[in-house]
Amino acid sequence: MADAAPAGGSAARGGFRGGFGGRGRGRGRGRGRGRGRGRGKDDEKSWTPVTKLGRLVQGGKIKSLEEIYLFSLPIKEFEIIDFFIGASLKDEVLKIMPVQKQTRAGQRTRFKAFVAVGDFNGHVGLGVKCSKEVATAIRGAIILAKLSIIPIRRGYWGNKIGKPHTVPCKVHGKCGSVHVRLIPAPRGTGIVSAPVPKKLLGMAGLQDCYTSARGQTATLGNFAKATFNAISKTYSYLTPDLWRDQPLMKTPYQEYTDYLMKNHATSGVQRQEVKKY
Amino acid sequence: MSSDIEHPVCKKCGKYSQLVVQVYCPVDSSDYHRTMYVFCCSDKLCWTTNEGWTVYRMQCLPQGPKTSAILVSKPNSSCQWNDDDDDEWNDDFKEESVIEDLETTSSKPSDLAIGLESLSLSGNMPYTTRFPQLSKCSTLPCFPSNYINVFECEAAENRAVDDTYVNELIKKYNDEAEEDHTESCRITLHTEAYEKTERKDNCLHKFKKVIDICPGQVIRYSWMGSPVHIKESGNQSIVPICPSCGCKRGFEFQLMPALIPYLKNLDLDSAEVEFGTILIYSCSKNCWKGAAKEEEHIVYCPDPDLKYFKSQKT
Repeated sequence: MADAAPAGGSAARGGFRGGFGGRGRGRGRGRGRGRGRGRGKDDEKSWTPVTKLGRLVQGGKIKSLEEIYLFSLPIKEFEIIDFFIGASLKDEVLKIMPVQKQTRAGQRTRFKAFVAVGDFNGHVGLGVKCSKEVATAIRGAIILAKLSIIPIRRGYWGNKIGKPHTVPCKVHGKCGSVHVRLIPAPRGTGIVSAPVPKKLLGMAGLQDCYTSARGQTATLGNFAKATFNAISKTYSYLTPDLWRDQPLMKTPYQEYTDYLMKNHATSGVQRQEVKKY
Repeated sequence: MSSDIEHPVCKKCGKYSQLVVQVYCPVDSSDYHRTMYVFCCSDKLCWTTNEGWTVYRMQCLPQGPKTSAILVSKPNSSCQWNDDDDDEWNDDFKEESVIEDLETTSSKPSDLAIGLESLSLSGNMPYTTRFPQLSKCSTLPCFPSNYINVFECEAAENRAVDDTYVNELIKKYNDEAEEDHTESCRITLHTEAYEKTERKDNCLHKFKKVIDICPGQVIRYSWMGSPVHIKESGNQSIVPICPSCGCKRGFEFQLMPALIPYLKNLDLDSAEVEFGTILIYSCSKNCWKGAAKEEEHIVYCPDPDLKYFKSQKT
């Protein structure tokens, strides 16, 4: 190719002009490693962020997931979650069920997958995805579950000895007709509930909890979502220990929180670090 | 022809712009050599708007082989804009030498995917002495140069996906379902309905899906095709018609977020150029009246969640 250039310049041009395809492929051949990269092992580790938040996370400017929650930034790339707590995250398929749709040509069956992810230490997410194939539904549900990860506040039933083990107060969540109520329980009780919320509460890191459910709990989707709504309310509940106006605390990750503080647009967001139990 | 061209300046602040990408992309219907150059201002206030970016299109007819030698000196870190008009028939020549150079040097080639293929030549750029005015601006900021690979875009369905982990989960679920007999005995009166996935940002999800086909992609080229948008509402910007021939402008190529890590100034410690995606529109008839250059239209699309970050003014 190199020798063809000066003399047969135009000829080479003509060949090239014949179509992008031929020439381009020739060019790509020398360098073409991984044509249309499939998800090999290398690709899983190398993540090219698409959003600005993703770039900040990859650049190490944000130290923990809690900082993103503190500033209420929307997480739109699941790799951000993987970056922070991916190692301790466990996925579990709650249910796979076929759903049917009546069409003129008969019935069209698709699979609906419910996946819960959690690190058994204060973070849990729930994802629901419908797809024509089971594997695709599960894959999609895992990603959606990671995107919906939420922090959970844990508290004590009685004496504040040891680590928090139960919900800090009675909370309830509702989805459809299903109404789920979570009640603090003494240490050693375990999670007293139906199997589906039991898995979710376990993944959240709650060790003891009483539950009370009402409504059509057979609809698994609504039951799981109601429990999820209930546990996500733990951090929005104003308990007496938060009454006192706390000054802005310096966190150990000051330089990185500072980055977000400097670059985060002001909005009515709680700027204090809530005491993480 | 080359001596008529001045280094572009930013329309907003008047400072010299820096070269971001150059794409050699002849159109099938015409014989011309054709290159697109994209420039951006180094000032943060400028590269957040359409006016801070400049796109030039340069064409020339293919001529016989040139006998004069090209000065291939070490790339000077100060000025690196190389006007390729006179050198374009030596594309192949330079290309091959670039490939060899890169094999031996430590500079990493960047892996990228392009829609319909297009080529680009930012290798170790030879510094030509044909621009005396550039030698004055020795403090011109510039980005380090990289080579861009060309791939043809394949459809998402053809990709092989690794399903081993998912299959493990399915197996675990089936094992548990067999043990749990009460579940199977229960008659569910309520059947679940198909649930459409509600997403925070559907547009960004589609954008990400396109990128996931080849994660490192930097440019998507599609002559008169349609761009992949990063934000739904940003599509109302009106693309002006070509000033020289009066024809409509169509989409040509777009710059993707994976390009951002490469746009770091070597000498200055300024902030990185940021964008969501950058769309370049050019004359649909590819008009050429023999002028030095044609200026094309560029649309700057910021990151969709920019409102959560303080404005890029400081």
